Amino acid sequence: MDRKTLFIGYLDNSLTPAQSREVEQLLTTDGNARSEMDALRARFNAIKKYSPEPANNSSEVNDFYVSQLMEVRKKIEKQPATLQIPFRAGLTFAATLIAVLFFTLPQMNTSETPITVSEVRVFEEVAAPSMLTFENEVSYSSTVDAVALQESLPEINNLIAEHLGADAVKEAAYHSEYSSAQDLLAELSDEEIVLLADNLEIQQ
Amino acid sequence: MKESTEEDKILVQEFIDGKEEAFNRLMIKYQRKVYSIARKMLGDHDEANDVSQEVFLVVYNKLKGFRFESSFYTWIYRITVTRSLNAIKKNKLRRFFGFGNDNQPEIRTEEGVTGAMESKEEFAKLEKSLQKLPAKQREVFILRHFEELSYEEISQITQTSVGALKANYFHAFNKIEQLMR
Repeated sequence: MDRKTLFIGYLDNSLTPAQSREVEQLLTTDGNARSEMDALRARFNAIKKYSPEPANNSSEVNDFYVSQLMEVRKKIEKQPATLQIPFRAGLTFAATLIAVLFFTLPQMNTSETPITVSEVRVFEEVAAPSMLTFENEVSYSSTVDAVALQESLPEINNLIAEHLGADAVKEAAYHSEYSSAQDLLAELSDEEIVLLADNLEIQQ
Repeated sequence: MKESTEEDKILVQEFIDGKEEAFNRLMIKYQRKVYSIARKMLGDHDEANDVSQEVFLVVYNKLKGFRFESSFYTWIYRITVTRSLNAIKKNKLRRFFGFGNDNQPEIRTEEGVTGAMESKEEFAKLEKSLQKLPAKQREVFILRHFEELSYEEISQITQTSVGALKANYFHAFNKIEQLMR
């Protein structure tokens, strides 16, 4: 453990007794270490005081929390007696992604290469109309096991990330029945968005 | 936190028994904490407000099934950090698909009470610095440095080992300290 990490641990109160003694000994014998620790402590305490508030003065802050409470109560009252699972959104997403896989994998098997113009054309001509049909089938026919589709979502996402790469997903979403990727994302539940972000391994 | 835990238990039990106002009291008690964690995680007032409301809706809907296997406050903190992390991921995905804001969320320094910090500039700098930490480090840093939870409590919330949490905290503090210079 380097000196700075030891000092941070000391301020954080998370060192072992032996490590704490080591720091204390250093502080009594080394002037530079003491100055370093003083500067670090000042920063440590200043950061601790940071407390963002939703408004400028206490009466506005109180008003904010009162209206937040009322807002939540309103939402609670609007909820149906039995909570409905956002199944439709998941179903649409699963259907779209499966269709993307079915109709684009043969054309786009290079995982990290950007999609070519001809590949996009193939997708537009072949995949997108079929996807619409596929989606209708899933939504309105009982012949497809919709629950199984939804359950296979993680696997589908993995396949997409693995075989098509992020660019392909982006393009596929854009050229799907949705007018834009934003429409596609608007259909997804929170869980699906998180799953997709994880599978695409979007860097921070 | 012991007294608080006892009080929470009573309120949760009252809510389970059908006393609706017990939820309001719990919400009033935790509104500031929840907003504060979400705001530090997201660096944006509106998003923090949205996440806070989402958290309380989740709490309302799941509270009847609360089994007291953990304390109420670790449970609500867990929901808050999870929802905040989800919001961060959603923002990244929106940026990835090219229709989100490319910049970091707007920082509303004029809306923040800066009293505790030396200046608004320092406040803004810290808020920006927090957003530069990887989300997981930010989560640990906020729960440890600001909420002053023990590593064991954070471990319960984040399902991460104490050793890894300490390492995350040290890295986070080191980075924030450098960015604040």
